[in-house]
Amino acid sequence: MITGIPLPTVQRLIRVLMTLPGVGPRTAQRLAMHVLQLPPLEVQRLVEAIQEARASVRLCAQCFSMTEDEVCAVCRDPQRATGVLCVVEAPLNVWAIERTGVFRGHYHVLMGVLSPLHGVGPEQLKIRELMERLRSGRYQEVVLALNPTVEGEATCTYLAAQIKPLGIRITRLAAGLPMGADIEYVDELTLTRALQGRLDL
Amino acid sequence: MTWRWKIKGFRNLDIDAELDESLTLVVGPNASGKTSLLEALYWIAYGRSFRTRSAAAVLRHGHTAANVQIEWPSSLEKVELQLTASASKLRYQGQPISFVEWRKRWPLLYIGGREWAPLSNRSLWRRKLLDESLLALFPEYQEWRRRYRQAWIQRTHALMAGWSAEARRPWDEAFIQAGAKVWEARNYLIRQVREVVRSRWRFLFPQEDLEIQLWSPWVTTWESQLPSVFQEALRRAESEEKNTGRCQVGPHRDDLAVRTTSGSFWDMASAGQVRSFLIVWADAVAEMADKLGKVPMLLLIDDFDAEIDLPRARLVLPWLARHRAILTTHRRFWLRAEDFPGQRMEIRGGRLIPVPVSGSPRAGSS
Repeated sequence: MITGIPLPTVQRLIRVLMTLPGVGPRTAQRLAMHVLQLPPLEVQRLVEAIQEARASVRLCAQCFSMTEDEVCAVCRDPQRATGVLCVVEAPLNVWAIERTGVFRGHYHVLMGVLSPLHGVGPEQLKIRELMERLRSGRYQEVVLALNPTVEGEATCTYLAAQIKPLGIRITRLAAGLPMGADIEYVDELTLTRALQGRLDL
Repeated sequence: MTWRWKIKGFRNLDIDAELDESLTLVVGPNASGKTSLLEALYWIAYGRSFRTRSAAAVLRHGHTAANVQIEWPSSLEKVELQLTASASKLRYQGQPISFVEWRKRWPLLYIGGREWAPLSNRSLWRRKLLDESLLALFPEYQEWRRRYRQAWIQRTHALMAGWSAEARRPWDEAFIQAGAKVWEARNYLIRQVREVVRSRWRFLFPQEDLEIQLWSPWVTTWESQLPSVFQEALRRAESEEKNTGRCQVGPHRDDLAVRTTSGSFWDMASAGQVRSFLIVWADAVAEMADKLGKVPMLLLIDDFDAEIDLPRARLVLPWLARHRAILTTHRRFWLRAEDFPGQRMEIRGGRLIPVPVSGSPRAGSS
């Protein structure tokens, strides 16, 4: 795979870089060459930045989003104890929803979705923790904000069946027409969802 | 309406020609670029080839990029495909557009020569015929089928991994929901085309009657009841599924059943009859698109008369002439035929040569 480079240390660097997502042999080679041409001080800063970020970022003890403290800022904010819990797939989704500034409640990150193909069952996700939080009685509504993929929807179905006995209101994100779309060219699946999730004016 | 094709760097093609948008027959010897021409048009609609998975394979030897353009001078429309070994990009009026979006405006159905030969002995290919027809009619069918396949794979893995019934239930539901949608679409397609296919077939082969249906045990079920019937069937197959580790029920086991008065069509059909069936089918699908008020479909039929006798080839032409169709053939006879109901082009070494209406540029052997 890595041919024509007689230096074992460089080969090792390239192999390590290739374990990063989205980095193939070519990109890894280019990144390695770039790193090798940096002044030693710059390399030191890069290494320190990676180490520092890795050492200080951890998962929030309550919601499993990423934080530099024991408990994340959202979970600490007393104004956000509104009794609404938003369930998302990954920490990135928390930040996406936060950017809208519309949601005022707590989050719960599942760290993935159900996928038998990849051996991800209910035990591999933070579902037990979710149920514990819900049983505490602090929440009156759960918003299932998972992706509208086959896996996301199956996870929704599973969670809904688990949460229903607790008597908590369960909602999910609307799926429908994107902004600026033309109804004529929208596919039937999306249009069906949009009709089912129509709003009163 | 005329359209202008400009193709460069795509296999052996080097085309810049303005044609009439009606029935078009491309005549050329083997390896002259007939199928490559259809492949280039197919790529514009589907973003892939029907005979290779590699984009590098369709690039002309020594070239790194291919360019396929279609222009409609009367409406000032233009679509352009830029193809390299690693990327294929489509632009409409200079703006990037996805292949699915473009296919909604420009539906296309391809009936091949080599590719479709296994139709008569493989149910896989008959499902493919259903799927390709539905993709041409309803671009959103791609998403339905994708979701159904995904749910099927996930459900099978959950089954094999021995998940509890409770943990499997979401996958059962996803599978039932998407599978019922696929069934609904396939049933609808067959109900719409079967009368047209039957009457056309009787015209070609008066002695034989064809009865066409989707083979699945629930073919007669009402659409609204499909999910519950599906669920019941899955429940009944549960122990068998556990034993075999395979999914026993669902649209992945469908077949296109065609019966004649004396048995299954697939068991006795000759190559010529299979080809006739495909042409009649394509005609019926294009007619269905017209009836539903959809954008007229473009039919690409490769080697349309390869196994068909001349009288029958003459019979199908007026049907195809009602649609926008591009046919290819290697029989030079058609260059001289005076009753051809469309325009003819000759292809030689990847170049298109218009044929004067009066007949062949070079009268000669066929």
